[in-house]
Amino acid sequence: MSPTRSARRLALVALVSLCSAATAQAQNNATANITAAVQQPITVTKNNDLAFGNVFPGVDKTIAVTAAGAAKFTVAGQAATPVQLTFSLPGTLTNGGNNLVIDTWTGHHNTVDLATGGTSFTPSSSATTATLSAVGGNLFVYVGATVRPTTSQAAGNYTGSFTMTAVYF
Amino acid sequence: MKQSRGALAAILIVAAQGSQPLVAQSLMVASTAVAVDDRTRTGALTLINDGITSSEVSISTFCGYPVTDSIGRMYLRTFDTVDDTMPCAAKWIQSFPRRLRIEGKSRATVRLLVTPPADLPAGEYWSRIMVTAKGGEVTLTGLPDSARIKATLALEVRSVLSFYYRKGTPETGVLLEALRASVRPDSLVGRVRLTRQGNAAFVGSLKASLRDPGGKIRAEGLLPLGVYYTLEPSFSLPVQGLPSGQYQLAVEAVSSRPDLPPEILLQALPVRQTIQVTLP
Repeated sequence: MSPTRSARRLALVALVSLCSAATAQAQNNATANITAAVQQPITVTKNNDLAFGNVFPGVDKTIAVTAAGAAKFTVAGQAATPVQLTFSLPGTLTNGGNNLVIDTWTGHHNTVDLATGGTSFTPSSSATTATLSAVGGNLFVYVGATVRPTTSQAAGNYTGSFTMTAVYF
Repeated sequence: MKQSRGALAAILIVAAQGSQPLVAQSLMVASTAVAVDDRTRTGALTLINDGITSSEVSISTFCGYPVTDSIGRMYLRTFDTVDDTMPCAAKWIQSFPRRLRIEGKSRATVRLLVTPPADLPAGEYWSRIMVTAKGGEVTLTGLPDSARIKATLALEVRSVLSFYYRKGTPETGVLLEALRASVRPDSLVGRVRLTRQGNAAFVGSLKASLRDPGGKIRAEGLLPLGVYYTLEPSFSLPVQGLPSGQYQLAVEAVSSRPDLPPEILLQALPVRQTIQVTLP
């Protein structure tokens, strides 16, 4: 269950409970109306890592946004609300003086949890504007890329940073 | 009453965590806007780490406000340098703490203290608050084991919210102009220009509706927005399956937003504009 839907259901349960309590109370006592308006917070969740599977030295490997290995994020908030997404992505991963090229970043966002049928975009520092789903207030974001290990790629631990920014207007 | 309402909302948010699947990193930020007045000069943010790993969180501020591009998409305009004419409050905001570590399945409250210049004129001043969460990783698994290569991307997720500092009793309103629409195969795409009135941003919603000749609403939509100066957003209404003929397209700007508590919003009289459109 999505965080938004979960929060909303709980809110509904709580309101129903409050109403039931108030009704029961009315049989013997004066009542006080209790209302609660629950505003949706914004939540950004990383659901999946970017998984390249088997990669061989000297052979480029691409993970498409539709692949099982694509990175996946969920942005949740108020239904039908626009959000802006920007990304800061590396072109290389580093290990001391050694580099491992990672490029050709691809992205896809959708209001349902499918990497097809939504909107394709190129993750970058340029703004991508999307709208959270009308029901549930979710946006699913998939990111893929290509790694290009050289035939003589040095062994080691290669690192880089991946930043996603979600702007609420 | 406001306090009890807020407390209940917080309880519901916290309670909601229990039913979610386990994820490595997930940061919930509430609320999505903060308004502080010159009497208290303080505000707060609630941060909930719903992930299973700890998260390093930092709070920063910068100046920016939403604008629209040539086709009506909203984006955040930011500024490297801020001139004196811009009502920017970013430099006056201190957060306590500024950096914190939130363990998995835990929450924290960040207090915001505003220290404006002593001679600040009455009015509304803006900022953006950026909540940066580090801690998760996007692991690139499966790189060649034979070469003993491991690759990891450190994940940083930033959530950007709006902030308002109000001194005195700022007023807002909005002017609607230039409503127009074009018919696409399955939708009606409209645009309208909104110009802020008064000395405070108009934060509210644009309601759009399409009525048939009998006055029945056949399509409607709602766009939450903030008009800091001028905004000319596009919106679309589904019209697939509607019979051809004359319809009335109405847009109304109202000072309410479903994602924000009403006490944050400055009230303004709703304004409305209509045009006739023909569906083929």
